[in-house]
Order: sequence, then C-alpha cells, then structure tokens
Amino acid sequence: MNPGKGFQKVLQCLLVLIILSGGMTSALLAIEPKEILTRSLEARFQLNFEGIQETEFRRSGKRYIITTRVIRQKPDFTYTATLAPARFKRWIALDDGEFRIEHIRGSNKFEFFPSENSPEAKEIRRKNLNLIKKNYKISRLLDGYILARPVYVISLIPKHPGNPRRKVWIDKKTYLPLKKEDYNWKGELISAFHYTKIHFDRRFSKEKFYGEFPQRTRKKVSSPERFLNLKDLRRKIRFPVSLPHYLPAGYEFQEAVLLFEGRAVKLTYTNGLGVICLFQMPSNIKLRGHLEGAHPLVWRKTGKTFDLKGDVPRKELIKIRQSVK
Amino acid sequence: MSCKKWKKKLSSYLDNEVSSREKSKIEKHLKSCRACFNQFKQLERVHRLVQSIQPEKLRPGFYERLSERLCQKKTTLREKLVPWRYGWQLSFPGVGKIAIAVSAVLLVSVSFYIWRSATSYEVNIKVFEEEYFRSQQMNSFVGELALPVFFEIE
Repeated sequence: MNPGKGFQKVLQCLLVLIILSGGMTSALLAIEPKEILTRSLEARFQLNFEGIQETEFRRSGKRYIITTRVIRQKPDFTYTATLAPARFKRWIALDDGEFRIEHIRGSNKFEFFPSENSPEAKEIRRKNLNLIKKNYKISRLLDGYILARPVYVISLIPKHPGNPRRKVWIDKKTYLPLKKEDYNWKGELISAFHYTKIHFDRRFSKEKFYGEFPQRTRKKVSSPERFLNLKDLRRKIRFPVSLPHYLPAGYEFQEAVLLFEGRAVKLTYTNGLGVICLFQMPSNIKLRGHLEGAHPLVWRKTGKTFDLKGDVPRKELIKIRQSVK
Repeated sequence: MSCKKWKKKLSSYLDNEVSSREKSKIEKHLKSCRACFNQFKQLERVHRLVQSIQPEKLRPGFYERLSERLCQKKTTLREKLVPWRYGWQLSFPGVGKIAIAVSAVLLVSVSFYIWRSATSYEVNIKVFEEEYFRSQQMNSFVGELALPVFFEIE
C-alpha cells in the first residue's frame, strides 16, 4: 500500500467531516423563519427612525400608490403624513400609544382609533401570529438586500387553498419589515409596501408634530367600541346579532366593532392574513348608495341588513351568506 | 186720528216733550173724548205720586263699590275653557304674536327634523368598504397604517 495514498484518503475524510460539521453548526445556529417573523412583529415599537414608505393597494378594481413619511420614536410614538398623490397630501396621523388620530390639515375632520400599540392591538397581533403559524407554511427564501441593507426573505404559503399569501423582507439587524407583498387566492397582488428611504436612530421632538393637529383633538374622545369576544358584544348591542355558521378553513373570529353608536356591528374573521367582515344592522336603517338586490353579498333577512366582504373565492362568500343565522 | 194714537202720546204730553202744535191738538182731543180724558187723569195722578217720592239717601262709598264691582268682569264659560287664548289676546301686541307664532313653527319644524333623524338613520355603504379596508390594514401588521381611510377614494 502506498503511504501517500493512505494519507490522501485521511485528508479527504477529514475534509468531509469538517464540511459536514460546519454545515450542521450553521444549520443549528441559523435562525428559524418563524422566529424571524415573531421578532418582526413588535420591532417597529423598539426603534427610532424616519422613513419614506410607498404603499400600493387595490380597491374596487383600481390601483392606488401612496407615498408617506413615517416617523417612529420608541416606545409608542408614530407620525405619518401623506406626501403623494397631491389629493391625499393633507392627510396626517399620529399615534401616541393611547389613541391614533387621523386628520386632514386645514379642515375640521379628524377621527380617533385605538392605538396600534394598545393592549387590544397587541393581543390581536399575537393571535394573528399564532393563526399564521397554524394556517401557513413559513419558509425562508434566499437572503437579499433592500436599501443596501441585508434582509431575510420570508414566504407565507397557505395550507388551505383559497387563502391569501405573503412575502416579507425583514431587516437582519433591526427585524423591521422593509418590504411586503400580499397576493390573493388568484395570485393577484392586493397590497404591498416598501421603504424607499430609511434613517435609523433619528430623534424628534414630539411636540412639533402635535402642533399640526387642531387643539380640540388633544381632548380625546372614545374610539369605536371593540369586543374580542361575542359574549361582551351581546351585552352591549341593541339588536340580536346573527353569526355565520360556516367559515372557510383556517378562519376564526377576531373582533367585533360597534359602528354608528351601536346601530351597526362589524364582525371580523381572520386566518392570520386574510380578512372577512360581516356587517349587520336593523333594516329600519337605510343603506345609502346601494340598490336593493344589486349585489348578492348585500342582503336583508330577519329584519336586518347584511353586507359581507372578504378576499376569498366568491363561492366561499356565498356559503358564508347562506350559513348566517 | 184714533184714540189709540192719542193715548200713546199722553205720557210725553205730561213730561212736556211734545211740540206746541201737538199739545193744542191733544188738549182739544181730551176735551172731546171722555175715555182718553180719564186715562190722562190716571196718568197725571201716577206722575204726581212719583214726583212726591223722596229719593233714598245712598250709603257713603256706594259709587266706589259699584265701580269696583263693575270692573270685576264676570268670567264666561268660554273664557274658563280657553283662558290662554284670552290671556294671549290681552298680553301680547300684534308683532309679538307674529314672533311667537314664527318661533312655534320653527320649534315644531326642528323637533320634527330631530325626530326624523332619530327614527330614520341612514348609512352609506361606502363606510362598510372603508371599515373592511381598515380591518385589512390592521391585520397587515408588518407595515405602517398609511392609508387615508376617510378620504373619498373614487
């Protein structure tokens, strides 16, 4: 036996071992896609930054692109102002952790909503994440770059057909989502956003932003009442609520919101990403802008008017409608 | 002239309220007509008797009390049934009445409008579209809520 050949074999074995152990170590150290997604959930509340965000969405068959300036100051301050298109330019929003106020500059229009960082919103996000983990196959694609920053690319593929899917680009350093794309069950892009500019560790005086809102918005009024369970809702509402007894696979009750001072209610169901909303109100309340019988998902039954909306196949919506009792 | 007509004028004759020509005619008739003369004598006696009665002396303050009682207007049944109507007529001048009537009409109109709005509430279907959109946004927890929901998006 040639001693040189034996040494060569030993070296080859060692090399294979080193490669294998290296691969295993990196596999053990590599962060799980579920963990990346979980960390990204609350990342924005732990950062100070200023960014320009471009949001694209479709509504009633039309495509809209809105550019906004976003300022976040940890732990719970957000200022958002629309920069383009020109007709939305006067719109601004401020979230101080207690309320979210939306206002149109130079007008008396302003509306209050619960803060994105309120305990209810946090609870909804936590539940949604659990639903996503349950209803979606979360996988990590090839890493990439957004604004010259290395990012994880996470893909959410639904386990049940007919549900929307998502692709999200998450900053490796801060876990802030820098880009997102949502597609419906037909594979059409329904909404997307990405940052065109972002500067971390920028600090601003919050008072400067409060000055842009009318004085009376400082006096906070209550936002629409929200219920995370139907028992509490039934205690508060003025009319008997009808519920759908069929929901597409993976969908669960998320929340109920009272509208028009309790005259109507919105029931929201989700699978973590997709949303189905069932609106209902007593039939003595007129529904303006709708022709009787013009849309199969707006109907009257047992003294109530219903409106069903959701980005799921139409046959699924019809099934839900038929199950409402 | 018949006696009936002369008899009607006897009282005026006694009170000296007839003309001299009529007076001579009446005297001429009384001389010729026994029945009329008898009635004249009876009337003359009554006249004399009335004039001989001494007037009763009034108690002091009689006129004041009378005036006071006359002022106390007797309330009729109609006035009792609709006292406000008479009160209204007495209390307000013409312009005031018009102002009150206009205010009443306005009050009724405003009340009707409030009642109508309270009973017939209207909801625009666009609000449901916006609310659905808001739910979609809230569920898309990775980005900022950057959509002006309450803008009219046409």
